[in-house]
Amino acid sequence: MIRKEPLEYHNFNIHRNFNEIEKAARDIEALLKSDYRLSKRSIALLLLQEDEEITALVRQREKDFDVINKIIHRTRESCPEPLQYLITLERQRKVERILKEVIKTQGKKESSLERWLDSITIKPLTGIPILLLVLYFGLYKFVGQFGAGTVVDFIEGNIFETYINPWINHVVVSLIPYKPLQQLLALDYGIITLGIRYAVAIILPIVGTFFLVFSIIEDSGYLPRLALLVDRVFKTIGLNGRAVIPMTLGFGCDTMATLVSRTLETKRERIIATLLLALAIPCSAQLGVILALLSGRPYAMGIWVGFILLVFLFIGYLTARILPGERPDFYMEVPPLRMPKISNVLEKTFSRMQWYFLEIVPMFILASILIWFGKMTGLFDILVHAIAPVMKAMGLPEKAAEAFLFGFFRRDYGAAGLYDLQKSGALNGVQMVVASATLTLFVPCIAQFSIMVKERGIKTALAIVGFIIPFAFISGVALNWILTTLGVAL
Amino acid sequence: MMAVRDGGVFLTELKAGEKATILKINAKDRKTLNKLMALGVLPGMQVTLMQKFPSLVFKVGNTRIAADEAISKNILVLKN
Repeated sequence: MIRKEPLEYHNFNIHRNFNEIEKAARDIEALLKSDYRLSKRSIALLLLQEDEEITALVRQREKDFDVINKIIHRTRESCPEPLQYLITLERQRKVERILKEVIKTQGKKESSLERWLDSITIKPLTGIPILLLVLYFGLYKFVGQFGAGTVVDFIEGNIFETYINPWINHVVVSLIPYKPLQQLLALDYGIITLGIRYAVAIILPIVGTFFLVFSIIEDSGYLPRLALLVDRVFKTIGLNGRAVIPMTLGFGCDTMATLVSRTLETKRERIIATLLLALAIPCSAQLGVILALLSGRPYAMGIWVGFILLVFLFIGYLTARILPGERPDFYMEVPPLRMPKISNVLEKTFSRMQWYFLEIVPMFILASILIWFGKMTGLFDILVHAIAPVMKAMGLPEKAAEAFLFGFFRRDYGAAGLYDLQKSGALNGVQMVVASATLTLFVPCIAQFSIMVKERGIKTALAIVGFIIPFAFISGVALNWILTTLGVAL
Repeated sequence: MMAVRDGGVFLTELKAGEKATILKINAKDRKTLNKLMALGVLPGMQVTLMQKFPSLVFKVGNTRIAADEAISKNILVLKN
């Protein structure tokens, strides 16, 4: 057949080139004197493929490295294609020849349901509604309403407030006569009554339900589909579809997600992802509390979602324009959808919860101590007064300053503080939206900041935070101005 | 241009549902070449283009791959 000719010609050329490589490999083998534990042929082939590690090792060990290098150069010059390409092709030919002799393939039929599910999750017309359904049931219903609502109410109201806190307060007050020490451990801002209570009663159920949903989604093979659906949008903010994994994980814990962003290919993508995680992705704890806060007011929720999404895209777009560097490529294997395995899902959920718990409990204790210290010395009051004008500019009561101060220690701590404020009826709809939006954008928590420093360096981390703090407050003021000017009542 | 193409067309020029044989990986840079080879995209293999939007999705052997146009443009194929 005439049409097959180019392919045969191509293969013939490759084979002829490979003879050249074969000869070079044998020459190099003869020159290798040191023992590498790998066969000399493998070392020679790796050298020809420009493997960096092996090249460095051989350069260090062989006195004839110059001669070897010359052979490599000569071979590279004489072949029209990269050596690695040629070697891979030859290897593939051999593999196929062997496989043909030992394997019989039987056309396995995919069931029509599988094929149908497969195609509707990757076609934009059906894929995006499915994505919204996953978000609605997975995040809003399960994490927001069940985790942050039902479970939190039960643990916090029925266990902590009814049994643990009164008991701890009683024990501490009767055993320790010294008032400041009592306050360090118990009462309003104590390590146990505030720090441990937030960690166990509010944050753990939310994070746990999130990680459960995330593990199910991960195990089903859905994430690569999400990645290919959002790739085009993500390109406009300087990322590629692959970044959807750390970004989605950010809805669980931004600290963990910042750590995972190291899997992104270029430094530019890692910086953009770190900034967006710190700025516009609320973590599950924060998300849970905010969902609970705004749940009775669908319009308020809509404005909050829309505003954060707008900031996410706008800042991503600007950063992508400003930061130099190459455009990221997107490529990914798309595995078939499968039923998640319960054992996998549970194992992943538990190990993530464990990681989170071990990481946050010390932070919560530290935050409690700092808050206690701030209260004792009066530093806290000074800071609250100092932020008060900013609160006023955002149309918020002065008391909201406390929630923002809490937010410095843990994002979710701040949101939880806001929750207390709302329960006491101190906020109207507009104020709740403004406060939630500002708090979402506001600083990363201590843990996230320390990971940012570790992963991206102190300069980048400080630059990001230096941008976020004023930006969050300016956005809050702007949002308040827009809503009040339009006379929106929520 | 024809010399580069060796008589083939780029994967991005196929229609959704069309089958072809991979002729050559025409990547300018090593990195892209390595990525494609690591995914098992090699000359002589059968490829089916499954969809083009929002990303290209194609099947090579038993592997299904999603990639953007910039990457897919490096794959030269012969229509079956």
